[in-house]
Amino acid sequence: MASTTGTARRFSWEWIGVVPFFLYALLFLIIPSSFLVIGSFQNAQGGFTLDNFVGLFDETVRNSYTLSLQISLFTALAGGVFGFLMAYAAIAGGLPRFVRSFLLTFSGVASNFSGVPLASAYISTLGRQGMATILIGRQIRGEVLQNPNLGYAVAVGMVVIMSVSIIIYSWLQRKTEGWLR
Amino acid sequence: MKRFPIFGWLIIVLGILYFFTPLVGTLEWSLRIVSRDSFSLNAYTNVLMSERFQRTFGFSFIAALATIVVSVLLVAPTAYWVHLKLPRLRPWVEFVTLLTFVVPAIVLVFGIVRVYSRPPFSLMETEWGTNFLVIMGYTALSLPYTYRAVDTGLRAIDVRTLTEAAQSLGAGWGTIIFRVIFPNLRVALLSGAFLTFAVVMGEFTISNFILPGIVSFGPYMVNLNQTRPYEAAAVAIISFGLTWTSIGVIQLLGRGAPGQLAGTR
Repeated sequence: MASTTGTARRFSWEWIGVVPFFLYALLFLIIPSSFLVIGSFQNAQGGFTLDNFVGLFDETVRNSYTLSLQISLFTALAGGVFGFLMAYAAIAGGLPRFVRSFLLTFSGVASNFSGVPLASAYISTLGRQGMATILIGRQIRGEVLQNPNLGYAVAVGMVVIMSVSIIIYSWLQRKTEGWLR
Repeated sequence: MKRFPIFGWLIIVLGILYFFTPLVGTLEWSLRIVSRDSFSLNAYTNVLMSERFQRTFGFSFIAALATIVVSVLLVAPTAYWVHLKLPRLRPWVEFVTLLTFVVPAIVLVFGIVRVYSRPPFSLMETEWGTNFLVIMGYTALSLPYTYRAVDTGLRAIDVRTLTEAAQSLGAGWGTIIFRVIFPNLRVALLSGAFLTFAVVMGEFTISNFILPGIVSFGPYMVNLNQTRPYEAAAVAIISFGLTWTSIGVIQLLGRGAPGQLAGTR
């Protein structure tokens, strides 16, 4: 292990270590998702168009986006307020310690006990599937849609909304990390 | 003298009512299969004895184990390497692991089906191929959990010193990763593993669109919901118990190792 030969070799070979990870990401995350982005810019004949994005502002699509956003906003606010109150009660409210560790375990369970079992526990009062999920689901199953490319555009719109929230989340997290120090 | 914390208890009781009412309701319902006036465990025995439950549960169990192996082998060495040698790449790796939150499962599975239904990768045509694709999709879902767990674990240990100590004793990269780094990350790896397990056992979208028919546990639960309400409630309770156990194990493991638990907090 002579360090003199190491410098030159290490310089050119270090990136090899991350190849499997990025190859996986390319094959199973990036290429599959890009299919949808490309489709959203195409018309039924495969030519380039922006019509699908114009179609996002149609009343039905706009209404379902608005409804989803309202539900999310309400959920986030209610969850935030309620979660804060519970955390505050457990830590500063003078409750015994076991309450705190129970809450910690339970919030872990609750956040992972989502999906199918939770839906069946709440007997699916609210339709769990959003508009994009239904549209794309039908498309995969081969059911005929009037305009599948509009479905792609709806999903791309969803991805854009998610990206904005994730960016804000990362930014906030970096801020709070600063407070903790 | 401290007053009795009315406010605190009120909030906690409200919270418990909110979370446990549906659960207790489901539990009670699952016990009423024989008659309205008596309890019976028949729904549970029906489910546990049914061939479809055993088959789909077994499939998802094995798929969960495979996903854990793939995602740990993919994430842990990468996170270690980025930590040690390529800190510039860290934002990119983080970006990729967060992609799963940005790209909804339905979009991902749609793309996977499209890409792998045609040459050069016609993986959708064989059972081996679809199983492989499902594991890859599950791995994508587990990336954020596994990565965050491993990343927190790596921050808590002195990676450079450990690596150099191992190197000075003549260890190669394989030995360093599997016999020095992995054992030091075992709490982080296990907590990532149990989270992945819980996610895969309840997963619906990916397996439903890639696999033909009802093969995995998620679609089985949905199907049961539509056809056999008592048994469906029993399965919901069983799967809740399973998730609770997984998270409980993570908490136990995390005891005495604060800061090693990511994802759930």
